Amino acid sequence: MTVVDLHPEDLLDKEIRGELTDGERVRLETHLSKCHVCRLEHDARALFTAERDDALPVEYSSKLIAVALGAALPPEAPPMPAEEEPRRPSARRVRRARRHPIWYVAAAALLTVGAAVASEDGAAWLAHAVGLEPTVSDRHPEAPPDHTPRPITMASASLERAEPTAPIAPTPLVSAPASTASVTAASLAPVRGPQTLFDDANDARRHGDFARATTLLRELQTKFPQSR
Amino acid sequence: MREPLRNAVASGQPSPMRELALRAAAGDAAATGELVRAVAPRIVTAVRLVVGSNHPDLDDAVQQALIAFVQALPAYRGDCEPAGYARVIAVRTAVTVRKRARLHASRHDASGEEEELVGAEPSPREALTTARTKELWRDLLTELPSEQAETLALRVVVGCSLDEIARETGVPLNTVRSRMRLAKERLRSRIEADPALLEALEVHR
Repeated sequence: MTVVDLHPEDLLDKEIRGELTDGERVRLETHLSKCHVCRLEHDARALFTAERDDALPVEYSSKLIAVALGAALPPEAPPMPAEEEPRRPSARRVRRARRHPIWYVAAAALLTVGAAVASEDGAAWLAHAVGLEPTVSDRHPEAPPDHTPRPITMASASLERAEPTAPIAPTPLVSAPASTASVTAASLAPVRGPQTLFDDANDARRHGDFARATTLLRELQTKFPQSR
Repeated sequence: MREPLRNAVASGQPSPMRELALRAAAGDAAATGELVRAVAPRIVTAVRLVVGSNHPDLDDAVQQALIAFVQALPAYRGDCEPAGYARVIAVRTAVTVRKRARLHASRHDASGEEEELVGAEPSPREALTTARTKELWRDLLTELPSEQAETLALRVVVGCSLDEIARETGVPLNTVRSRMRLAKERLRSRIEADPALLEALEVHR
C-alpha cells in the first residue's frame, strides 16, 4: 500500500466548507483512494454528522445541569441566626442535614470547591458564600471572641484527612463547620477507594439521591485527582 | 439573558461570553451559573457524541463533564472561547469515561460491549451497521493516548477543523497536526492488523 505521509486534513476541512477547487478535489480524491486512514476519517466525519445535529433533550440536560450546578455553585447564603444553640450533638446535625438535602449538597460542594480554589481570594469568596466566618454559634456563648483567623481551607483539609472507616462516629471538627464535616464523614463512611466512590456516586444518582451523589463525586475528585 | 448567551455561543461572538467566563473564573457564582447554562448544550452534545447516546454511563459522563468544566474555570484565561474550552473538557471527560467503561467491561465481561450493541433497540439493518461503526470508532479512540484521542475525537466525532482544535485546546496548529498524524499512524497499524476491524469499518475499497 502506498500512503502519502502528509495527510491533507486541510482539504477535508475545505470539502466540508464547500471551498475545494477542482485541483484540490482531485488531490483529495487521489489521496483518499490510497490512504485507508484518511478515507476512514473522511467517512467517519460524515458518519457522525447527523448525530451532531440532534436536538438536545431539554429536560435531560436541565436535570444534569441542575445537579452539576448544585455540586459546584454556592447557594445564596441566608443569614446565620446568632442566637442558635451553641453546640449540638453531631448525630443531630447529621439528621438535620439529611432533612435539608440542599444544605448537604451546598456544603459539600463548597468544601470541595474550596480545595480547588485554595487561594486567598478563593478562600475569601467561599468564606463569604457559605458563611464560614466565625460566628457566635460556633463558639461557646460566654467565650471571648476568637480573633484567630480561621483558614477556610481547613475545612477541605479536614475533610480530605477523614478516613472513610466504617462505622464512623461523627466527631465534631473544632475548626470546621461541624454540621458539614460530620454529615460528610457519616455519609462517606463505607467509601474506600476511587472505584467504590465512583460506583457509589453513580448508584446514588440513579436512585435520585443527588445530594449523596454530588458529595461522593466531589470526594472522589478531591481525594483522587489523578483518578480517571 | 440566557437566550442571548446561547445565541452568542452558537454564533461564536467572542466578547460577551469571554467576559462572562472571566467573571466566572474570578469566582462570580452568578456568572458561573449563567455560563454553565449557556455552554451546557455543547458539553452535552460533545459527551454524547464521544460516549454514545445509548451508553449506560452517558449521564455520569455528562455530569462529570459539567462539574469538570466548573472546576476548570479558575484556570480560564480568556485565550479561547469558553464554549470551545467547555467542549474540549467535555471530550476529554467523555474519552476518559469511555476508556474506564471499556476497561471495566473487559475485566468483568468480555462480551459486554457486544451485548450492549445487540441489546439496543431494534433498528433497520443500515442503522444498526451505522451504530456499530460508530461504536467501533469510539472504541478505537479509547486505545489511543489521551491527547491523541482527544484531538481525533474533536476532529472526527465532534467535527472540528484543525484550526478550531488548535484554538480550543490552546496548542499550536502544528501540534494538532502532529497529534493527528500520530493518531492516524496508530489507527492504521491497529486496523491493518485486524482484518475483521478493517471489514467492519469498510475501509478496504
